[in-house]
Amino acid sequence: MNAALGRSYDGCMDALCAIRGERSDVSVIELWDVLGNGSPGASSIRVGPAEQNAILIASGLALAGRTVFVSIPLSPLFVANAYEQIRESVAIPNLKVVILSAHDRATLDRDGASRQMWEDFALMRVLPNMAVLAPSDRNSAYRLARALLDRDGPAYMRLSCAESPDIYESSDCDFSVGGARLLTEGDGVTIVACGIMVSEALSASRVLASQGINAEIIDCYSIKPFPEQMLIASVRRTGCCVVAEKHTKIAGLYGAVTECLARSFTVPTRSVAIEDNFGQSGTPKEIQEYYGLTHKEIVHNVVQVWAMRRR
Amino acid sequence: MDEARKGELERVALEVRKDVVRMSGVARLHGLPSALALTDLLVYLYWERMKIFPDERNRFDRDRLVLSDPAASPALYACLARRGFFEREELWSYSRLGATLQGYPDIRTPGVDAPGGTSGLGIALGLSAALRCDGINSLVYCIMDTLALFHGAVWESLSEASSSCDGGIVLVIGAAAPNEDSVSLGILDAAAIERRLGAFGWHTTAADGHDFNSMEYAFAEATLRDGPAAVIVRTQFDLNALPGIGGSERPISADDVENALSHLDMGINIGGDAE
Repeated sequence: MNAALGRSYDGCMDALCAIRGERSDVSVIELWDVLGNGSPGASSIRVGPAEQNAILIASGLALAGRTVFVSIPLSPLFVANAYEQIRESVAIPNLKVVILSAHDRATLDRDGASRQMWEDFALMRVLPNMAVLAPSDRNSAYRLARALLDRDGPAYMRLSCAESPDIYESSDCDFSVGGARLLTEGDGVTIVACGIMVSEALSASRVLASQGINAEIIDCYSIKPFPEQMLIASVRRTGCCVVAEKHTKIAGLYGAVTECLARSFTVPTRSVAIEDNFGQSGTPKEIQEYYGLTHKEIVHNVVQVWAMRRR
Repeated sequence: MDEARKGELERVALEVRKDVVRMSGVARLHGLPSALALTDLLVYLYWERMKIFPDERNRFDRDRLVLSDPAASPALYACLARRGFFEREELWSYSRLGATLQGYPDIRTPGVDAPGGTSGLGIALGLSAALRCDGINSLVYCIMDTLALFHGAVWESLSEASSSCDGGIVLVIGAAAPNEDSVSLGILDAAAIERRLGAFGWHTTAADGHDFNSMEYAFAEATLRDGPAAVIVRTQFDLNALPGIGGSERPISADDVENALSHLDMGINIGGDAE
């Protein structure tokens, strides 16, 4: 694995800068000037901290045929704040609006529960038409931002402002909405992870290998549409599953995985995620440790589920 | 506007009103004052003001209308049908399962330019920004009622427009004449709306929503503006003029519809003299 560090947020912003230079039919809406001055007019709009209006303007731009990225990295609450507008003006008319959020800016975790929006996958996933993505490193974030240009309909992409090791080469472009990547093959357990938990899953797999359990790791960057076939094929080999995500245990990636398995091939499944609780103040690292979003917790859950695996 | 044209528009408006009454009867609605009060306004926009192309309905240089007063959608549909966007037969399945004409406007319906929610002003701003960026001088009209001014998102959009909008958009606020209910609910009257919009940097003009000459004057002035412009259209709907239709507790019956249609034919002045 490449040891270089990067932020998925930066990867996506790099993609937006490139896309804006290449495509005249793409608009970027920001609350503040993050990307730097683009060409004036509809290609770059700053709206200030008015999230509902940001979504409405995005809807109008998309109705005129544009692809719109709404980048609100400082305001993870925005999916809750502008939910009515997202649902009514973007999801129902199925417009090409991509909502980008970053949930783990250090200042936000310092602010505590009010700013820790760990329910975002759930809120977005239940909206018909809406795709939900959570890339695990800067290179996949870059590629997924580009992949969204080819998809009709709205999408939500959660990015990370924390540095994490690169998982993919920058030349790797095999990412698609509805896809996933098999990072390691194994027959002992399937570990499905997204976002910052993918690198934790890779660390866990090394510990598990030393204990004789070969983990099959899926980077499930597309939570919706969900890569059902890859998951089912994997659990048929391994017979058990652990899901890791920085989200509450309800209706996020764990929800998507268990809904899929309940329909097709049930196996013992565990979740490494935040309990049904609100958060509290801390540094991102402290929060991750405190709420058990670590490779150790993945190992612990794998050992339990492996003992019950379907044979 | 010459008298002949005015008479023509009044005849169209009467037919549209009658279609709205028939639609609400078939759909068994519980009254629809908003749709009837805004009929003259919609007729004026679709027959006189807006650049539309029913045969090429996706033409990029058309004017757009964002209906942010969903209760007025029956009147919008009746206008679109008469302008040839779809068959008039579609009106009779309004809001039914599988119908083209959804209760709230849906962009899949021919002639509908934007989804119909309660905070459409922001959508209109985005549409206008995109058109202007592409060098197209089309206008975007956004119709809302006074109740929409209770929504926070509308105030976000009103504030945003005052700094970013350089014309190309006309906000139309249908303001019904105040009554006891509206006063107790805190619904703004036309004068109060004008003051608030003015404080946000909007240019406002008032018009009588049942007088085509008055609307012509107000819209001509609004569209000349470089900044955000609003037309406050005063409307009046006499609930007593159409027994059984206005704000009724029970669904409209076939008898109510017949009764209302004959009242309309007799020339009952639904609009009244709006003040």
